[in-house]
Amino acid sequence: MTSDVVIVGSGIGGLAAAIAAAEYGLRAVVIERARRVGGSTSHSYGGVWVANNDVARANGIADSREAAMQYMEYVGGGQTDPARVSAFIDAAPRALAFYQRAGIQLELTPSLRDHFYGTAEGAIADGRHFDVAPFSGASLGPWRSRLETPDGDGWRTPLGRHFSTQAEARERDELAQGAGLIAYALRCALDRGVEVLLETAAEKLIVRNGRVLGVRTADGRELIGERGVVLASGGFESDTTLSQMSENLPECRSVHSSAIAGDGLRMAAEAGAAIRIIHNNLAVLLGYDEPALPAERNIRVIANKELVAPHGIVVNRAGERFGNEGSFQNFAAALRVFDGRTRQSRNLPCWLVFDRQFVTRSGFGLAGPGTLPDWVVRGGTIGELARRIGISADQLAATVARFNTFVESGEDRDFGRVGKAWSLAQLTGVGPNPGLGTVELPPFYAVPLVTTAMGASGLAADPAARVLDWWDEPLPGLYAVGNAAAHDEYGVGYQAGQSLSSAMTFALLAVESIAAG
Amino acid sequence: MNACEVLVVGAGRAGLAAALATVERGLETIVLEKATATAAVQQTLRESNVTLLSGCRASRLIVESGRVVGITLADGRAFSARERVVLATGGYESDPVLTRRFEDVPNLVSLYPPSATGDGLRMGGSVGGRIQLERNNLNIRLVDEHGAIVDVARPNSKIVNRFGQRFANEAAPAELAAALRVFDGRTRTFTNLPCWQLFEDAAGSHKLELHPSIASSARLATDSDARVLNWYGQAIPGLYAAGRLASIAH
Repeated sequence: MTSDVVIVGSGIGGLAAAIAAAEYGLRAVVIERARRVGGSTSHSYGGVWVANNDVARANGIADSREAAMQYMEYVGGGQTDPARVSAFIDAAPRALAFYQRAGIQLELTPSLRDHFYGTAEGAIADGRHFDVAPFSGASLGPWRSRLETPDGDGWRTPLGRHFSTQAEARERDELAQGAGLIAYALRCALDRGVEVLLETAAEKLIVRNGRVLGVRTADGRELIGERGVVLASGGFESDTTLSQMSENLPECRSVHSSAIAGDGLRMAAEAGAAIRIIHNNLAVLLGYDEPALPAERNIRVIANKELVAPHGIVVNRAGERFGNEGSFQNFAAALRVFDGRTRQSRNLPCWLVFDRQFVTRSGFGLAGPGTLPDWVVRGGTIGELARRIGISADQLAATVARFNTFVESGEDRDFGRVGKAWSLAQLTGVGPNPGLGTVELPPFYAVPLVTTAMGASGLAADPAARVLDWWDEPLPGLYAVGNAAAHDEYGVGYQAGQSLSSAMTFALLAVESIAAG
Repeated sequence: MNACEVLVVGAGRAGLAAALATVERGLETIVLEKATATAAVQQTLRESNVTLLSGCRASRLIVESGRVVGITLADGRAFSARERVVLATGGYESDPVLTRRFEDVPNLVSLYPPSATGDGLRMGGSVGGRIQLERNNLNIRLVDEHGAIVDVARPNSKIVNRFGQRFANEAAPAELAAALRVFDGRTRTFTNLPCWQLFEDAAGSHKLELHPSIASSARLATDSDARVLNWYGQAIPGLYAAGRLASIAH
């Protein structure tokens, strides 16, 4: 089968590339190894972060390229490639307008400030975060049942603005957030004659005379992309080896499907592509093993839920706090601290320790306020709890006592935890407002936490999304967008919406490069 | 094209050992060295009838039908190897691009010669060799602005960060090394870099800025026969790696 462009992966990077290819008059085929369309995008909040955009400007919001670049300087944490940052910031507003024109109804998410508003220069309080209006599932026709969607109905309503209740949205089969974004993009791609092949896994790149010319699939087909191949196959979070190498966390678990296992990276590396490690990636979240979730992704992330709720703290095996629980980025860095004397991680394993007030107010687990699963470790005293989880009772008691004095004074003098962390939870109605609260009313509880990362390392790519070889020369015909490429446009991160925005932006740039070539 | 049975790239200790081992088995061996081998190495190779070619910078591996069969040099010359190519090019300490890409400690200086530019890592990587990264590599030294290793545990001294705080036991190199990696998620800076040694001697009080130097953490994955492995765990036919470039796969 011959096309102009073969696109590997049907997350937003792949579908955006397909739409752009069609707009440029190129024949595109999208292949997806899963049974459904959407990849990791379908399971995301669907935020698309675009600084210095026309929509905000039309709404009277002041923003500028300079402010955006300043903000990226902070977000990047020294792990960026300046040319890629510029390409991203310069092209994202154009990409937003391009995909809006194509039919993806992206709207400003109201009042969603930048993550680091108040901390970083160039952050603004409103006007950079987009997500889609509700999409009517029926308009996908037969493709509706081939759309990857999350469990429950929380994903059916847009962030921070009211269209319907979750029940109404379910009734009308309205799709929003990540799955909604995919639905719009899929509709746009299909309308333009893009072919989407499900259950089609790319296995090897076809290289002829030094040029990438297509992919061979696991079932032995050769799909030729005469003008190029775009890898939009996601990252490698479900591959233990790649994840360990990239994240430098002792045991980093995946919340992605098992398909997110570095296929694109391996295929490209075999063809001579270089990889790039983003060090100190701060997109590391804490969660716990939730027995009620499907085995494949049974980590329930609580980074902006229970972790930031009052009346709880996180302690390491020494029984000490080690970071600001209210800010997962601050926490992420502390999770990597390695003890040169003991030669082990200083702060992993770690536990969320909380009391009865926490349960009453927030609850722990899937069931909400007032509830607590049976398996949670408990103790009548702090000492008893400490013994049950195998840490020093005296030290844990001292840590809790000290923390309680901070609650009284309203100031966390050790780590600066504050009452209002940035939290999507506030917008989506999940969980209470974060804050400080004492840990003093028995019984006391402990839950062992696990880490999960949204990987930032990947294939080295240039500002046109061309995959680079080990001498920083483009590999002819090969492009990488989204999580398949190293995120050296935002470095250590993590700002909500930049991952999807990057995927869409570099998809457009890749296709422009293909069309020009 | 110059032909032989075994091509060894790099005339350091690992390259020398590889060349002696292959010539001992009766394989015609050529060693390519981009700089100049030491007099001792030159003499040893001469006595063992190994051809040593200095001033030969290897540039790309030649692959035919999935097998590594030779090398082209930066000057365009080509060498073919009927049996195998052995990469023994050491680390990339003097290459800023690879250093930034694979090391998580910033502002590194090299304690290795300018020729330590990771040629072997690049060549191996470009034919699909898997990169293996040693995390929490504690092989870090602190040096002064001239690259001289500083006695970090000298009497009447301490090492402090920009806050004037000590951050590790100066007499425990592993603790110092680990502490240099600590990254602050809020300020997005390294807590303990830059750092200084404060010391007193007969001449008075001194403040010496210290620079970290690390031995390369990224290597090519190899099996126990020194064959370079690809990202699927298979040996790449014809390609071997040795010395500081190679890492036994785990």
